[in-house]
Amino acid sequence: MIVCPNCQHHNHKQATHCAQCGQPLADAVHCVCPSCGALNPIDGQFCQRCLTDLTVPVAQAPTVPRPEPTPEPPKVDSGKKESAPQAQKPKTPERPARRKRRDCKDRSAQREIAPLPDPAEGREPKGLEGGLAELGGDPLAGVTDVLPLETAVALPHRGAPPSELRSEHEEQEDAHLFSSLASEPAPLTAAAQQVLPPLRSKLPRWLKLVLSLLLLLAAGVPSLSPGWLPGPLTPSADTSKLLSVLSSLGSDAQILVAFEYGPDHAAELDPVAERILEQLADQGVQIHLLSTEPAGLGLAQRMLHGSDSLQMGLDDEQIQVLGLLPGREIGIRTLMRSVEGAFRLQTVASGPHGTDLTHTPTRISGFDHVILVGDDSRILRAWIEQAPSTLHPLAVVTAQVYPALVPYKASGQLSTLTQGPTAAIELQASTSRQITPLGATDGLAALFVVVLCVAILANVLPTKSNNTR
Amino acid sequence: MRRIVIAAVAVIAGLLVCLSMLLPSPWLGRVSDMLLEGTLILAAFALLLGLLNILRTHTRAVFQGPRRGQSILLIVALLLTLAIGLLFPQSAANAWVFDHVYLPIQASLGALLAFVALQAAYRAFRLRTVDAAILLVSSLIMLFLQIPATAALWPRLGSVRDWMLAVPVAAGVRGLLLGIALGTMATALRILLAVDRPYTGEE
Amino acid sequence: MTPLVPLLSGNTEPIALIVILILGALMALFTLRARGGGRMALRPLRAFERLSELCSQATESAATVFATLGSSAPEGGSLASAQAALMLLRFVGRNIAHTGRPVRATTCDSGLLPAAQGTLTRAERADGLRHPRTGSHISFAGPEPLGMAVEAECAMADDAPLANLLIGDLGAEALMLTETHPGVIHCAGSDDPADGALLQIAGDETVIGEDVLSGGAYLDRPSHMGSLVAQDALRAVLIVAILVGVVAASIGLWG
Repeated sequence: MIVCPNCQHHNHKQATHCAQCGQPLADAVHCVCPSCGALNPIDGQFCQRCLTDLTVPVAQAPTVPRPEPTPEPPKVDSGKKESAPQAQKPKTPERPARRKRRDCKDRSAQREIAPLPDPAEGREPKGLEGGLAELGGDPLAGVTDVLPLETAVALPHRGAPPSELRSEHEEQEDAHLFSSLASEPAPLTAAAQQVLPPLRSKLPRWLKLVLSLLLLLAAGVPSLSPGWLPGPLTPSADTSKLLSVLSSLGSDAQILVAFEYGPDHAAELDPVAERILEQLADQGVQIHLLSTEPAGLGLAQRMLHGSDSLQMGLDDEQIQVLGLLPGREIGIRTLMRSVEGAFRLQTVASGPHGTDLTHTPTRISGFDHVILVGDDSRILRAWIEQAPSTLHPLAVVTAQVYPALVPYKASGQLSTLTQGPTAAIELQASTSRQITPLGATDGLAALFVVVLCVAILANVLPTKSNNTR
Repeated sequence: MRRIVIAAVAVIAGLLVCLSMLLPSPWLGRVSDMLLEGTLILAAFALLLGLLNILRTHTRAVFQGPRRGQSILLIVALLLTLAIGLLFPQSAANAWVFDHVYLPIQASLGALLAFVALQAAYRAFRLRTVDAAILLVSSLIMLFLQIPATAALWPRLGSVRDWMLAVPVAAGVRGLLLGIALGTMATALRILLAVDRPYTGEE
Repeated sequence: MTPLVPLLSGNTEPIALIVILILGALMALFTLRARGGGRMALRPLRAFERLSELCSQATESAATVFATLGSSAPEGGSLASAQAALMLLRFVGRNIAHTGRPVRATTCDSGLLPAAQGTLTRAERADGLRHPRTGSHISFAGPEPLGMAVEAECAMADDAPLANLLIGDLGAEALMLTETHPGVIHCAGSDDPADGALLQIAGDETVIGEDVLSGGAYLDRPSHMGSLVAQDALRAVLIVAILVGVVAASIGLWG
């Protein structure tokens, strides 16, 4: 059936104009499955819901007449022995006629299946031979429609579409087709290959073990290596710029640091965040901390209270933890309009450290620099896109997020953009501080070697497919 | 009538917030701030709904389900953490839970991802298609260039890396971002003009 | 050049307003044309074709489909991604409602939870089910994507679904799901550029970027088709504008 694009009337598949409004159907895009009523693309071959073949034409046919009631079964042949004298059996009450099978909507062709003859009615108990002979002929004699294909597919809780009348010849053809298909061995694997996706092969356990061991070895290299790779390290342009910006700050500078990362990337960003805070502490600037996620704030507070080097370098007057900025992007927007409005500075006169928050700049433009340390591309982009044009944040991000922010650096919206692991190594090398095991450059080199080994193994080892479905 | 009112509220609120970003009007700014703060309050209550959903799901799992012990543990941990947070805010107990429970578990799960990522890389690096070959070669090149010590091997490698990031990578990401921005604008306009009405469930 | 100076000096609000107005006009034009039955050519996206196939396959095999939704709805700028996720959920929910195995979903965003529950309930009702079963089949797994990935992994181990829809801000967490369940068909999508690379290797069928937001057009909704074509038209305008800007900057007229 073709759906008219003008009035949504359902027309016959061969119709060229709509029967209701006369609109040409050349531009129609949808057709209706005759079986389940689902909308399908007009050039589709199978219904997307019930897989009925949409290319089979369904033509009008006259109403099938109600079949004649079946005759009584023939009597027993007098030549056969009777095992016992016939006993009078009480007549059983007539079985009520089988209820008509009806659909929710009116159907122009109501097919009714004639009730089967009651085997117990009017029959005497016989032996097996007699019984089988007595059944005689075809027990389904009188049943004209064994398999009404359309009603079998239509679902009970959904109103079936108005069916199209079919001729007896077409019904017989359908029945013949069905019986030939039902008896034909179905090549299921061939059909499955058309529908099923190429399955992923499961990696063997020994291979997973090898990969895990390689990764553990790479992770252990920084602790074991005496520094195999040659130095000194030359910091990248962005790391050098970050260092020069931090070094040039005066003691009256106000710096906002946003901790926008969680514990799963703490290993990657904690070292560089610590280096930055230490550098700021050395400069004696005023540091204001915030985060749009609770875990980030927790990490910041943990860093402030837990790091020995920081405890030596910072005092409570230098650090103000503004707190959690709720609402993620909405919170950032509120912050950009007014810091006072975002944190209600006037109503909260002192922070968790007992410091006086009234000296916190009330607008974002009051901060000399904004430093973003984050692992969430979406939040970092919100910071960059909502920041005023005069504000160019300094961003330190994870390796995963780094490529997504490169355009902002290229367009000048970001002042610097550095990756966490390499930035930590380069900052340590530039400031002559002791390099922690995680910052050793040998670890990155070991990771490269592991990935290279994996690439070689993947192309050398044979693969097995695992088509279990 | 109900649907019209709901749609009207959604459209008017959306238009007010949108216009406040485009037009410099203090009145619009105040109204949009109020509406956005309402969104935050809704989000907080949605978090409460989520909390109730967790409790319901895992309470049901305690009585019927294969993972009773884990569900019991989750419920106990949830209620305990909630109690500590409500009764002793910003206290040492709160910090202890974060430092010794939440942080190690999250960090460990994050570390597990490295193993999974390596297995996925094993699959992805099989040279069956041109895409896989490009993926493999570009991954190895970028990994090699990320090592800080490569500059000591050959000083020009740093500039090669900077060029690769500034030109092909930036170009690709810019294209993606432009397309995403257009798609986001179109989705927002469909909602603002009530063409899509997710709040009433109409298609 | 004088009228363009305010625009070229970095004041972006007027530009944004003009772009929105142009896009709105184009959307109105193309949506009306789509609703009138006009044919519009869309390049094939295998992931959405596979989605239809999966629904048919789930119907045949009485299997269920799992959804892992990572977007945030009311709080953040990923409303478009959330809307796309809900639309795909509605499509799948409606098409497999009658199998007896409802869609199961888990999400890490509390704002999306009630929206997803309502979407699936309405989808099942629209399919003819009088007693939708979706209330308890969507779970919130905490605000962290890692927690959601763990809960999804456990749920898939229990249910053995045919397919898993991964929609939203899932990066390495998606890898956890796809590697622990290689027999499940994973259809992944995210509009975050940072997640695209990981999802490309994680999913069997992947859409990234704006393709996630165009699902409606592929699932036969005229309004979405019109807006998709409008996006393409505006994209052409932007390309011309960029080229003109590049040429102007190169010959010294601008910058």
